[in-house]
Amino acid sequence: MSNFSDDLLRAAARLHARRTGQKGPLKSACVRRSISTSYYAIFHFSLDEAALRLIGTSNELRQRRRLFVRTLSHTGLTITYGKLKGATIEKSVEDLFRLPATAAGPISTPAFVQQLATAYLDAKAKREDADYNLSEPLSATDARQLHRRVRRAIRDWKSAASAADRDTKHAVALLLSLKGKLRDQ
Amino acid sequence: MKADLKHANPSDVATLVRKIVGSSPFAKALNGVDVEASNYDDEGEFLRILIHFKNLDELSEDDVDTITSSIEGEISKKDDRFPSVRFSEP
Repeated sequence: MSNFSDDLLRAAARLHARRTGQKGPLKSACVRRSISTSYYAIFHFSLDEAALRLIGTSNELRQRRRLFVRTLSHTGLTITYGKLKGATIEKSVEDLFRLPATAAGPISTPAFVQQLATAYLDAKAKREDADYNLSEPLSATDARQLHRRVRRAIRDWKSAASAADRDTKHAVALLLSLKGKLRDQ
Repeated sequence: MKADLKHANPSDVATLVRKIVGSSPFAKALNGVDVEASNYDDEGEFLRILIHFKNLDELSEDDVDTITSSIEGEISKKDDRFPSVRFSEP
């Protein structure tokens, strides 16, 4: 798959960057487009991750991955990441993350998952204000902070590569494909 | 709202945010806090936390990230809604 999310992050950075000699506040349109673009970076990263883990990574499977990601939705991501944002995985989905021969009880959310979940939820909240609620103030500081947060979350997710990490990523991908719900909740 | 979710009063959240920032090195720059509950357009609620500073230029990137993570950590103990922290330009 392409590095579409990386391209979006670069575009977001250009939107909130100051040109040499530029003074005064950044234009609101640049701040808001930067925030919206950072959101879409983490959104598309999540879609790509789910598709690569559940469908497969080979080039021949590109069309199948594209068909699959069309079934994922903003709502499904919001529900999924809402259940992964805390110190422990929400009880309604914790069995999906339990490794074999692991005792019952709460499961700690791995830091790289919690980071991605909270970055997504923050980006989602700010993106809706950026795009639809022009009366809600958003600053260049907000745009830069969100960009850093999304970039770090994606970097740390990519760095998590142990067998347990890969198993957790697969469970996250499954939960995304199920729109955040294991049963009729 | 699901019955098992913790929801704090927004004014209590604002008081807690003022306390967190007020006990930080940035206390003198604090100029107010606004908190309100809002909805994602599709699913669930979040808390919109707007912190007004007298001069944002005094805050480094690390300062902004430290304040944000401190607030998120403390608010998450009291409220299950995601706390979305924003910084107001003077």
